[in-house]
Amino acid sequence: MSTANLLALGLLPLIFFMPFPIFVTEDTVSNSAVEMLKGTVDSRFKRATEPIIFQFPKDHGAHPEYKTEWWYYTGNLSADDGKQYGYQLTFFRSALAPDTISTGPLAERSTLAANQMYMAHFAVSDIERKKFQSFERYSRGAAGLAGAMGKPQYQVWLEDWSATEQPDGTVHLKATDNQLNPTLSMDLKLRQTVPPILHGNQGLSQKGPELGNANHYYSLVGLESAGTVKIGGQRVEVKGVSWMDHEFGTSALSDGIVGWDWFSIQLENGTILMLARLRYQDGSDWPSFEGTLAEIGQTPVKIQRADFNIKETASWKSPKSGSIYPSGWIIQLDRFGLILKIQPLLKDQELKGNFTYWEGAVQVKGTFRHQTTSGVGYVELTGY
Amino acid sequence: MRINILQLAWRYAWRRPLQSLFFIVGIAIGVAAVVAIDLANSSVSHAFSYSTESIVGKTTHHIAGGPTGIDQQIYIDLRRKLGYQLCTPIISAYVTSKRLDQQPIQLSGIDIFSSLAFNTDSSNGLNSVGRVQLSRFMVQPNSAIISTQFASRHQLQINDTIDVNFHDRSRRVTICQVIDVGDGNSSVDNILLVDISTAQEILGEISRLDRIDLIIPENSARQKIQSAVESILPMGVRLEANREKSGATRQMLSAFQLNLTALSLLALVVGVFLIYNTVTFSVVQRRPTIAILRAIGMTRQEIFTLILTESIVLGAIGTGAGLLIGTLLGQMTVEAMVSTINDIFFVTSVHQVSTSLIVYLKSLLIGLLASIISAIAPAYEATNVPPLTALRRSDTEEKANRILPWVSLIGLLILVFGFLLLIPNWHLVIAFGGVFAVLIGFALLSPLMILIFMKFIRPILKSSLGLIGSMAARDIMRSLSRTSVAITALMVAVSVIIGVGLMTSSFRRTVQQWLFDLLQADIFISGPRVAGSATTSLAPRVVEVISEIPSIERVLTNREVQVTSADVGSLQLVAVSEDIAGERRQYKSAKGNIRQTWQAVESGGIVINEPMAVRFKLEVGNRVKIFTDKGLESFEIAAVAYNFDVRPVVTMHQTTFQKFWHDRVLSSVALTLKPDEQIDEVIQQLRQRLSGEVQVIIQSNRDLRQNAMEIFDKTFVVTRALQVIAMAVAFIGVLSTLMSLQLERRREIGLLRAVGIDSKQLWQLILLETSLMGTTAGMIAVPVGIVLATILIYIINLRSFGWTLQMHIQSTEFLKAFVISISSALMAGIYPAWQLGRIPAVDALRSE
Repeated sequence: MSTANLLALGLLPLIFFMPFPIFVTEDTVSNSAVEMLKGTVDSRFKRATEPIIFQFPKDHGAHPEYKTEWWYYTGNLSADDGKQYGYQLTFFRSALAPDTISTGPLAERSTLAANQMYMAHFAVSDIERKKFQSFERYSRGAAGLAGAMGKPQYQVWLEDWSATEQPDGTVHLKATDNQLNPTLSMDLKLRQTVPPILHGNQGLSQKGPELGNANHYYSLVGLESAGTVKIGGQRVEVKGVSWMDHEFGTSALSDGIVGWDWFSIQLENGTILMLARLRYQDGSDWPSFEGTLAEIGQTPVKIQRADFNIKETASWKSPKSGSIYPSGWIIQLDRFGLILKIQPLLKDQELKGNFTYWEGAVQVKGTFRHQTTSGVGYVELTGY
Repeated sequence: MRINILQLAWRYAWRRPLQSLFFIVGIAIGVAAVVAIDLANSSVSHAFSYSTESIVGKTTHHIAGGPTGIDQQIYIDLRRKLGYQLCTPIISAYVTSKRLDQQPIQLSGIDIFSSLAFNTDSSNGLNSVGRVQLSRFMVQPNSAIISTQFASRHQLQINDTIDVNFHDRSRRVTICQVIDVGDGNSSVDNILLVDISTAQEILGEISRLDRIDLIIPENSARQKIQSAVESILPMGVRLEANREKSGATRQMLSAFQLNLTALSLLALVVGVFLIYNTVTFSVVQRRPTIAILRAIGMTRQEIFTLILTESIVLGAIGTGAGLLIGTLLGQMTVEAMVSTINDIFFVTSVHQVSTSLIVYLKSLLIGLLASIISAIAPAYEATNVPPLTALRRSDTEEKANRILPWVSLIGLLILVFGFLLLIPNWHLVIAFGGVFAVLIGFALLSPLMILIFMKFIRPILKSSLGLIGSMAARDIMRSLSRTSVAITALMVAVSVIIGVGLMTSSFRRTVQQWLFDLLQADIFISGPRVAGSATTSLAPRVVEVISEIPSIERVLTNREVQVTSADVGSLQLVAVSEDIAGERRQYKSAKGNIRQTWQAVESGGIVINEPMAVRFKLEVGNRVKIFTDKGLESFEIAAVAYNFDVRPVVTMHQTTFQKFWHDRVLSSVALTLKPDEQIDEVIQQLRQRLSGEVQVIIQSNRDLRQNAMEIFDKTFVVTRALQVIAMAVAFIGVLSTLMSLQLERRREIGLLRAVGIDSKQLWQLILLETSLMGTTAGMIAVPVGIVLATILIYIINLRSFGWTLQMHIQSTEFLKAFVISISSALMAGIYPAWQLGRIPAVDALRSE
């Protein structure tokens, strides 16, 4: 399960049911993703009830028959001089309605009419300078303002933020806070090195016990990334590794869940780990969660909740929101001989748009099958 | 001692209730006029900023095109190619609906995501509250959000439908949400808010936008952003700074407001005169009392304080009442002004007076200062005479006679100064300063004129009415210090009435004549006009029907659109097939005779209206640069025409218009009939053939003129109201003054009674005196009024709006003025005559 998964599960329904941009329910006001997620699922949308056979590149595109969908890029980069950076570029799609209701002859229809809305988040962590910047955008999915397609070339975009497949097969990521007067921009090329990893049951990732409370979910990992980051007027050549999640479904968060901690780890030997805790109020978490461990050249392995243990080793209080987030973990997977010590590269990687959450670059050290190992990754924390 | 002074002041006020009442009423009316106009002005200013800045608050620039708007692709390019975030597409039109009483309602199409950046922090708009149900608003066709105020005004609920009409289209709109926007947010409380795509569908403008609003922050990148934005704009579309567009209207509106403010101040000036008068009298009357008080040991300062306290107390009561009355009047004034503004400036939806603390504080200050200032001189005078002389009245008159030449000289100087202020074309405020100076100059010259007039008329009165006549004239001369103030106050008020009245009636006559010359066709057909919206359009079907009717001789077509000029800003462009006024057209200036001028227009020249020529200092032969669909073009001015549109208007020939613009729609047509055809019958025919299909307005020449005059009259409602206020002030002023004057003569009358004047003669004397004063005031007011009217017509109006008016001296205006001055003077005489006639001579003579 990915970060995006739960995040979007939380966020997009919000936007759909609720007011915008301050989310007001009947009698409460909240900007918490989790609060908003609870509720009934619109039955007019298709639900993820059984595995599908993914067809690429078509399935890299949008699946408007499902209510929500996201493309989630995160990555850990470094410059020649060793300075480290982290980035997040995420596109969310939320259907406002299954089909646009037609009013009349085609000639009388506006091409700006939309039943899809898109949201995107762009954030860069400058580890050396201890600076984290994030931006948020919204748009209607119409008239080319925002959209996603798998064919003829994979492309997902919101205005001038985009992930676009190039003729050579690489994916070009572009984002800036302000093209005409930038303070932050990023231009990266991502090269796929391993086949997509399907999570859960052949890509059907369960989000709760109910049938259909699931997403179709695959990841592209070990993406070789190279390009430039322009930050504070300085252009830096960067290289590193990225991770992309793509999920779609019509799911809702189960009762009692207050938030989640999600981890995506890429070790130096190419091994990747995805796991999460869906937390209840009392500190326990959903026992049926399934993660994935994948080693180069081997079939990915499903991780049950009983297989891992997470211990928080530090915490950090956000001066902006006042929330207290965990800020350091030890993850133990005894069955695989894996112990990882995870630490944020920067304490403050909290996004404060219309939703407040923590999404940040981390560094990883530990042992895997009695050998020391290290790596990088991204962690997402919500509901704090 | 302070308490004693207060008590004394109070007792005095109480003992002369009528005088105190007049004092209060004078201040109250003056303050009320100022408050009412100020409140109305500030409400209108609010409305203006709302209507120009629309529902989005922070816009600095916008992208606009020709009459048909711009392609939505520009917006998409702006976002996708340039990634510029601070821009939002807008479609805005006025629609009507039976369900909404056929009043113009603004339909605003917005993109809710991009519009968020434009909300000011304090704004509480329909789109900013964060309560919009996107799944209905954006997804369901023809859905609109309204405010709770709007909903309750028209008894609408969620899911109710309204059939809205736009030109000849009709669409059923569903209310998808009702949102509380809070009180006083009139920018949004009368709007049908729809998604941008919904607006395109309702208005039938698929893939078009009215404009794109932008925020381009004022920083080092501004220039770069502007040129980047401009680089993607196709021909005929341009980036404009907002203030450039609203500048012209703003200027016009402030001229309009300044005119009203000046008129309200005039009412106050009259009020101040009245107060000065009242206070002077209360002092003069108490000279003996003051002398006694002085004699028993009261200091000058205490007496000064006494009089001032009295004025402040009465002034405060009057000011309070004035604030109250002004607030009530303000509501009426707002309504009158809004209807004017809807007709000539823009559609507003002000329903409430926006009460502002500043207006009240200002008016409070004006009221109190007026009472203090008008009391200072008499109070000073009263305290600076030795007790003994204070008891002698002749002393005052001697002094008055001594300073008369000086007063007259100062008056003359102020008069000249006032005229000097009017000569150069400076700011309007200075011109109004000149008007006031002229008025004050005349006021100061009045005593001299009264003296001369009395000296002249005394022999005539003596020979016709005998001793009583002679006495009346001499009495007025003898107590000039008091009579002149009263007469002057009356004169000022009456001259203002004459001046404003002459200006209004001249204006009306000029417009009437102009309309008569202009409207030479028999029948006029136009689309349903929504006030304030720039354009109307005629369904193509109308033209077909017209061509089928045999009795029509000629069809003149007209297209009116709003365009932008590089040098003038926003202007009305009228493209015509022929000049409707034909040979009767009168140009203020032109290339040659009517025919030559028209030839110049046919070959690409333009005619501009007088307000545009005056405001932008344009002459025949100059060129005006206008943004066309084919880029920026310059057109030569062939003539300047008289026209009473406050906006800049450019008229060009249809072929010129069609050469530079892609627009082929017609706004209206005018028909001339073959000889011997009946206008009413043809109208009947047209109505029948067009009934049920399209909405058109078919009017005869006569109806159109009548409608135009109705609009004209509506725009002068406020002016007339001010005239009435000035009249009321004048009437009360003169009544109180003359009454006090007469009542003060108790001793003198007693003496007269004692020497044998009977009560009938007393009545004659008093009434003769007051009517003589009224007549004098009226006689001086006539020339002063004409001078004022001349200034208003030839200087103020021309400079404010660029209209040349023909001055028509109308005797009814003078008659009105005379009736007011003489009737109030006569009425002022009745009570004193009755009162003084009753007292036995002995009582009247008995000293205090």
